Amino acid sequence: MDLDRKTMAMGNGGIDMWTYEKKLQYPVKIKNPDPSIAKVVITQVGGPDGELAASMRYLSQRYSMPYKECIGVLNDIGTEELAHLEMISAIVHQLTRNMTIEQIKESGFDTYFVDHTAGIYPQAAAGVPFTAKFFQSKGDAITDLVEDMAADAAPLERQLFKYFSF
Amino acid sequence: MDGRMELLRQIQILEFVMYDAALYLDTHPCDEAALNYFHHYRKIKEKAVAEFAACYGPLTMDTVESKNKWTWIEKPWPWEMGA
Repeated sequence: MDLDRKTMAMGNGGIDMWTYEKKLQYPVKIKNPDPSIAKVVITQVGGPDGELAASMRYLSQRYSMPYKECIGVLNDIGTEELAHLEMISAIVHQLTRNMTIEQIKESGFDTYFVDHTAGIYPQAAAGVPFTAKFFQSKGDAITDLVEDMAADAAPLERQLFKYFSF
Repeated sequence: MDGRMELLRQIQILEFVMYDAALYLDTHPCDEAALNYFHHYRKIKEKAVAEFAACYGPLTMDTVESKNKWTWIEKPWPWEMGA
C-alpha cells in the first residue's frame, strides 16, 4: 500500500481507480437561482458536445490508440472531462436551487421541471436525453481524432460561455 | 470557513498547474525541464493536501485520518457552495 502510494503519478492518489477528489476543479458559487440560464447550460452536461459525451468519447477511444503518448492524452483528458461534468452539474444545481414556482414558469424551465424537478439529468437543451449516439469510437486513430476535433473544439461551447459570461 | 476556502483554492491552482504539465508530458515524456516543473509543484501540492486533511477533513479517501468516525461524508460536498 505504501509503495502504491509512492508510485502514484499525481501524488496523494487514492486506494482505487478511479479516485474521487472531494473538490471541484474550479470553484462554483452561485447565490441566486436563474432557471432560464440553467435550461441552456444543461446541454453542456448531457448534450451532443457536452462533458459527459466528451469523457465517454476519449475514454472509449483509448483502447485502439496505437501510440502510448496519445493513449496518455486520451486517458487524462477523458478523466478531466469528468471533472468538467461535475463543475457544470454544480452550476445547473446552484442555478436551480431554491427556485420559486413563478421563476420556474416564467423562465420556461417548467418543461424540464415536470420530468426531473431540480434533479440533474444529462440531456441536451431541447430535451434530448444523453445518448451514446453523440460520439463515435471507430477503432481507427485518425478517424477518432477527426471526430474529437469536431466535437471538442466546438466553437459553440466557447460562444455559450462567452454569452453567459460566467 | 475562509481559511478552508483559501487553502482549497491553493490546491486547485496547484492541481491545475500539475495537470497542465502532465498533459504536456504525455506527449513529451523526456522533457527534463517539464519533469522538474511537475515534481516541483507536486511536492508543494502534497504538503497542501496533507495540511488540508489535517485542518478541514479529507479530500481523498486515503487521507481520512479519523479512527472513530467516517469523516469522508462530512459536508460540504463540492457542489454545495454559496447556499
